[in-house]
Amino acid sequence: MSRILILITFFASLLLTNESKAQKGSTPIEKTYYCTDFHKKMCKFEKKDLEFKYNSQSRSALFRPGQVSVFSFTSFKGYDYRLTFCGEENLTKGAPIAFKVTDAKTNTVLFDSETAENSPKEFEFICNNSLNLKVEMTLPEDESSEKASYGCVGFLLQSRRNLQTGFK
Amino acid sequence: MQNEILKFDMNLMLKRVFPIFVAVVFHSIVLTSCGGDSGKEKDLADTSIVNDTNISPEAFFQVPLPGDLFLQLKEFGVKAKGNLLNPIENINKYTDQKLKAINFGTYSSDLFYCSTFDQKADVLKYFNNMKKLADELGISSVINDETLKRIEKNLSNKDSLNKITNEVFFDASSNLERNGQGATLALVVAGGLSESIYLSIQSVGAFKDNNPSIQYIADQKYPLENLFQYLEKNAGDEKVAQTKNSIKPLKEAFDEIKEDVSERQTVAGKNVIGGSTKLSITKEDYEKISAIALSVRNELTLNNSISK
Repeated sequence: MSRILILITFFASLLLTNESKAQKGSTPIEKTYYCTDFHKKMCKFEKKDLEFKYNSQSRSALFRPGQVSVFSFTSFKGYDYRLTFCGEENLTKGAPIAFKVTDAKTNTVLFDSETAENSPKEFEFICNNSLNLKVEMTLPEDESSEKASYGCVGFLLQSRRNLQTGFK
Repeated sequence: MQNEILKFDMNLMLKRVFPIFVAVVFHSIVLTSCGGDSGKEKDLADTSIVNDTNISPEAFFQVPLPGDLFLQLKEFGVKAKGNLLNPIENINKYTDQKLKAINFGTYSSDLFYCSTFDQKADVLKYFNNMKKLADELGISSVINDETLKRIEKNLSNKDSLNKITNEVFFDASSNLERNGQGATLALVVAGGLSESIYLSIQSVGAFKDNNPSIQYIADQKYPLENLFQYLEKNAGDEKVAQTKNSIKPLKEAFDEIKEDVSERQTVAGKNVIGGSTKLSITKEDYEKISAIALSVRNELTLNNSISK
């Protein structure tokens, strides 16, 4: 009888350990791992423009609804840039991710997706002179869910040499 | 009757299930205390959540990869020069965590230089050095045997080599970041950027007016500003604080470059941003930056060279 009890104890403890691991799998802890490449896989730009290439200043991270994040990147003279934002559906619930681009030195607002037409999820510009840009990103609030939810958000930065168009 | 059943169940619980419960708890305690690594892993993972989500808004500072700088210079017609890279054998000097992290960045930059300027002979040696340092920094998974096989197979293809180097640097950064090793990552980025600025200046050579390569080097003031803020963010770590002090003279030299009024470009239907001033680098600025870049690089890599 005592041997049976020991066996039951052993298997019960194994079950408990596995169950706790399974629960951990659905927590944000593991999500930080798959967020790494999120912008590469999910932030697709719909327009098939030529020559825009992936820029190494792109990034992804784990966020919660309503979170605000600020980051700075360098844009160089002679390049065109395109910023695209994307987030997991469970996080954004289809609502747009708001973002504001400012000159990091003067804090002049250069673009605000909330005041732009149709709340775009991307912004394209020509860089006149090199500078650091600050991007403030705000995720939509989720008041419908009581449970804290987390999800990946990607910031994809693409760049290309200025295209020379027209007769010179 | 119901009470009877309850009483019976309680007896059963006390006699049979309780020992199981005690054993399970004991087993869990043993598992937790013996599995030191898994406990550590959870702590680190939790830390990364705190970094990502708790403080709002948290600032991040992005710095372009060293490869971007070399690719641009190559487009401007700059050619590689020999004997500039951090010597392979210097790896034996990197005995503490600070030097290992900084020089993981330095060797990454050297590797980008090799792959961009087609210096195949050195590629494998620099990858091997990076692998050794990655192992010692606890991020061995970013360069495995499979990566080395891919490199050997693509030695004649510089685009593929650049892609692999990009992947390794990206994986190393992500790995350090998600494990809550922001301070180590800051050191890696510092090593990478200071080496790439040094290599760029040495490859471009003497100052010339209106040279796009020299203007592009002047514009490295901006990534350097972001790096400096990133170091400041992690300056609670003593190794980062020391490295910030080492790089400070270089930042100050870049800060001395004056800004000139620049004509604002207009393109119909396009957003044009970038202010109305541009950096105007003089011969004196450039020579000062060049000398400081060399001394900072020598300090970070423990190199003894006086000049190139």
